[in-house]
Amino acid sequence: MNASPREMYQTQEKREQVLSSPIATTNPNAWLGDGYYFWYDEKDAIWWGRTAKRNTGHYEVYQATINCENVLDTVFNEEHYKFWISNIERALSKFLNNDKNNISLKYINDFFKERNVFDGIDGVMFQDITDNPEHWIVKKFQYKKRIQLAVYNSTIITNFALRFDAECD
Amino acid sequence: MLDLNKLQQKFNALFEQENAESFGHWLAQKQNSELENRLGRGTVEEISTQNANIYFSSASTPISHSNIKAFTGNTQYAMAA
Repeated sequence: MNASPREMYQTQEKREQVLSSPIATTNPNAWLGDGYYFWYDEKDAIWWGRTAKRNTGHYEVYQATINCENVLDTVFNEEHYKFWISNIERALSKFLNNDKNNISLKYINDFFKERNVFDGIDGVMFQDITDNPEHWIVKKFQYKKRIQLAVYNSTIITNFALRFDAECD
Repeated sequence: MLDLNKLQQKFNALFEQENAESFGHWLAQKQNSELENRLGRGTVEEISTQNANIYFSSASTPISHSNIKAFTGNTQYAMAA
């Protein structure tokens, strides 16, 4: 079951002008390939600003409403999760000749996109484990998922607006 | 609502059409393209050498072409962004 729509968050370094639309990632290591990245949890957006968006000494957190109806939701939807695992593993087996050290998940996803496999979907929701120690119950036990959405179709993003800015630690 | 059957058909078609070789070819082009986007597309400046062997007048010791490359360093591949 997909929750649609969702309020989600994008972190940017603070610039002279407030953004009126989201920025697509230029990070060559972005897991889900090229796209507009949003955090599910505002606290992860803040953590990202404090630790990774430090170029200007300040960061901004933007909020947007995102229609997730046509998103591949590998976090909350079990069917989508199994579908994702199956096809990623087929791709690794088919394309990499067991050499998994020289490729990132970003390129697998970019390949899917550029070969039009993702034409029918608006984005992929994915999770990892945050290194934010505030999320430890006991040391190195993370009780919270860190969830991100990579949006490939920008038309599902509405109400994009600055929520707040803050100084990096 | 996302149609997984339709999406699976697209994955199946991809896995039938592509292989490790075609993926490797695409990956090399993709990474080159990303590098050019970051650095700009440059031109290679060819430094011509009339004679690969240059002799010191005093010792008449030949210097190989590989040594000339070492002398010119990165300027041999000057990047014009």
